[in-house]
Amino acid sequence: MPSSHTPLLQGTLDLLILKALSLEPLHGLGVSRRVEQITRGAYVVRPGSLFPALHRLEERGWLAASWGDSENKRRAKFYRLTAAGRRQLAAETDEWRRVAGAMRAALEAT
Amino acid sequence: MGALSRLRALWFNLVHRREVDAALDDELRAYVDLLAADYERRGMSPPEARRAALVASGGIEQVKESTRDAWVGESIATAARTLRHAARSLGRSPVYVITAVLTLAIGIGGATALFTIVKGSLLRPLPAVADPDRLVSAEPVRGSTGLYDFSYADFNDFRTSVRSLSGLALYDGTSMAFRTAATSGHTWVSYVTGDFFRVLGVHPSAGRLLDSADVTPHAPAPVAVIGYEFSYSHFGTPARAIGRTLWLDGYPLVVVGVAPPQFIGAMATHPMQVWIPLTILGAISNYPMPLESRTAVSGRVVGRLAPGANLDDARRELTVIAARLAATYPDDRGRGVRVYRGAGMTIDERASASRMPQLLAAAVSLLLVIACANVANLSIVRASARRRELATRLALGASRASLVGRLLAEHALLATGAAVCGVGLAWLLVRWSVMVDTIVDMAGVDFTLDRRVLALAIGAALLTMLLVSIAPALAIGRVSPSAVLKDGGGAGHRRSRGQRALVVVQVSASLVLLMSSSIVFGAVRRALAMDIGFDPRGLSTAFLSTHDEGLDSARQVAFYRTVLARAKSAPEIAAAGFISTVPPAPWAEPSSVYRRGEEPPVGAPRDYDAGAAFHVYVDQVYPGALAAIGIPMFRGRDVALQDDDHAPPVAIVSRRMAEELWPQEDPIGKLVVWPTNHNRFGRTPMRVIGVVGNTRYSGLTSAPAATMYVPYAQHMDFGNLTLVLRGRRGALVPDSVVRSIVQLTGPVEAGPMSTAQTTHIAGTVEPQQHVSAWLGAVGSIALLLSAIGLYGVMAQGVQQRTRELAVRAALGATPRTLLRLTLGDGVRLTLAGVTFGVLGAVFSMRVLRSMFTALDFIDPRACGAAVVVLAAVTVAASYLPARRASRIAVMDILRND
Repeated sequence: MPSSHTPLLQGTLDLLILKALSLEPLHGLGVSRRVEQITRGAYVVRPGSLFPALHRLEERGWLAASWGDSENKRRAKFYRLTAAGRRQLAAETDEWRRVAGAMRAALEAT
Repeated sequence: MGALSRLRALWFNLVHRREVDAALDDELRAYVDLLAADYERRGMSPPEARRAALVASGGIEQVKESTRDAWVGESIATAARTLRHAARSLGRSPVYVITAVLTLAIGIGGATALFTIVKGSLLRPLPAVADPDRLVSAEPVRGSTGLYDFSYADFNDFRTSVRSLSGLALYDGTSMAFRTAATSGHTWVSYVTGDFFRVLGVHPSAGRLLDSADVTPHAPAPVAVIGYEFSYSHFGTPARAIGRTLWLDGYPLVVVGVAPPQFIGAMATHPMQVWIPLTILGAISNYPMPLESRTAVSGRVVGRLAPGANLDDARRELTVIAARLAATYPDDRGRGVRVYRGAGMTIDERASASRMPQLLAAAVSLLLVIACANVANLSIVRASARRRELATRLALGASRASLVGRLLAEHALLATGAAVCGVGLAWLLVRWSVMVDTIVDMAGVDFTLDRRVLALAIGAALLTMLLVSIAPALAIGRVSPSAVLKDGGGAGHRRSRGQRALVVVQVSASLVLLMSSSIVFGAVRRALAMDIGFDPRGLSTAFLSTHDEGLDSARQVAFYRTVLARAKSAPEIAAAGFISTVPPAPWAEPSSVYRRGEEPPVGAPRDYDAGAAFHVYVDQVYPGALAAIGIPMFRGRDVALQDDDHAPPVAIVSRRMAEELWPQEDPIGKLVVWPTNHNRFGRTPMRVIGVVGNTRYSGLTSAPAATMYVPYAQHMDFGNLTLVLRGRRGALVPDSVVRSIVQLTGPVEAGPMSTAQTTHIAGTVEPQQHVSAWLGAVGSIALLLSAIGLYGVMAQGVQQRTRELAVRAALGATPRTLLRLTLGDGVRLTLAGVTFGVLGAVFSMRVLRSMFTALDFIDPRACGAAVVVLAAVTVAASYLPARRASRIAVMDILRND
């Protein structure tokens, strides 16, 4: 496994998971792969932080889980965004954009 | 939405825990499978792929652990799990659990019950009295000597001049024979001034109470107020009693009112049931109350603070008035006044009543400390035995915090169990005490468990448990697990210096506690009077009120002689006699007597030169009475029929009185003066003709009293006598026999004789012996607990040397030398412990005695027993395991460890 990856900022893991699930339901490993893919390999989410986060988001009602068959017919737990999860994703995306814009402006200021 | 889904999750996490856990397992297994499949696709062999997947996951158990930590309610589930584990772990050592729980429960329950009883009985305010905190009592004093009662004239001056009190009343009480239309008997009667009921703030439950109009020499009619309970027993109901006639000592009075339920007047130690105007007393008893005299005393004084005034105001004002009286009247010269809050007991009564609570408080505190200390002892032993288990857990990845949590949970469970058992025990003990009615004999006492003491006791138990769970956890925290495991729990070393010190400390601490408790329990038992001075078994008494029925002296004497003759011919009766008061008599008041030549001059005020006076209880006896009661005669002779009013006056003294009046001298033939109105010889000295044993005359909880017995025939004015009958071989004389003896006789009409009340003295003493036996049992339990705790500590230490012993044996040491080695070590430690223990006990005795003045007695046997038992236990605890170790095959031990 590649070991060169950026440490996650506090609070970004939840947003990344919500974003990863915004297209289609995924199982745990799927979420991990998707996050790696959409961050162009910058972030590798290890199971030790992935599963606590998935369970926390599920308990908050942002994700819903159901058991289904995976690509190689292995029974796995699939997570999908709920309506509340979508609202949360939108809200956090806006928030993140504002923060990122502000940070960029601040850092590019001469 | 969020809250709702979280609640749902909480429900699942806590209630469907197993399913939730299984789902997590499945999910993670799927993750690893999928990852392995990924690796296989990249060309790894299946086993390689699986191993790589597991490594990449970074430890499945840790993932599970951190995922669970994210769950809602995980802390609750963890706590529940910890408790479950704790319960399981405790279940593996039932002996420890039972001992620890019982020990703490005895501490908690015993402490609470004793405090509750004492508080309920002795520290309570007078029942049915309004706002008892605003009541104030006053006593006249000369210097620092209490004089108990005021003269009516002085009282009246106080009453009319005091401003800081809204009312001041004078009262006293006496026992009288009463008769109603249907019933008769004896009762305590209080004679009071007009303000009495107003000062106490009492309202009638029927009719009216006494007021100033009733209490004048010119009152229109003699009236009485009766107690609520009295009205039910003798008139049917309170309402029916109003207007009816009540005869007191043959004198008719009209009942005008009934006091409220539970009201007993203002003397806590003498529950009154009839109240009459002070001014009528003279007419009833033929002793006119001297209202003008300043030397004749009339009674006690109680007042109520005026609104806005406090105790200091009252004290200041009454002191000023007392000084004025002392300056004005020669009879009052040198007198002051003592003012204190509350009512019900005089200062002296309070002092003697506080003896028992003091002793009990000391006993209770010690009991609690012993219980906690021994549980701590046991727990420390158990913890050191578990060092290995804890170290193993630590090595397997348990956090130190979780170990502490485990230990805490175990001890919290124990403490909770102990608290529950303790409350139950306290409840039972209080019920039991009330049932046998030992420590107090008072109606309407509040015996709900004292919450503060209960909380204190439980708090002490919890604190102990907290400390014993933190200590071993800290110890294990400092040691690295590998050291403990390699070490085999300390084997292979001589006992460390710390461990040896622990043994010494525990031996000495146990000894200090045990010796202190033996002192306290010994004092309580002694106070409970195992020995009242005679054997009460088979003794019954019948009170005969010949005097109250108006018999003249000649007829009284004839009556008593006939009764005695009958009693002596009855086959059930071994001995019989007459006495004015049968000890123990807590209500008795001592008289002042003097050695011949030291008596006050004729006409001196009553409280003249109290220094030369000896306070002794005076009892009138008929020949044979002392023998019938069983009071042993040590010197001289009993009174005889010849000692009548024509013969020179004589007296028999108790040993105590002889020691007080004539120390180191032969009392026989000495002369004693008893200047009292009752003595028909006036101030003629009485010659001592005999010395008898001491009795607990003034009550079971008091010290043996100085007592003087005078012949009835020389002092007949005392009045009523009690018939004492001793049955054969400890059997009681049947009531029917008693009744036939007193009824069939001569000149007395049926009257009080037909209702002569029989009391079985043993019945009044036995309950106290029950309590005493119980305290003794608690003391033995304390000793047993200490022994168990100490045995554990010592045996643990020796056991840990087993390996060392085995190595020595392998190197050629004989069992004998091994035994001497361990035993010698044990004996040295014991000796050190005993030395420190005795030193500590001497110190703690000093402290205890300065705290509790009632601890005036040290039982050397009890202290010696504590030392011997503890020393024996510690030596046995080092001998037995050592002997076993020296006999076991060497290789077994070495291989085993």
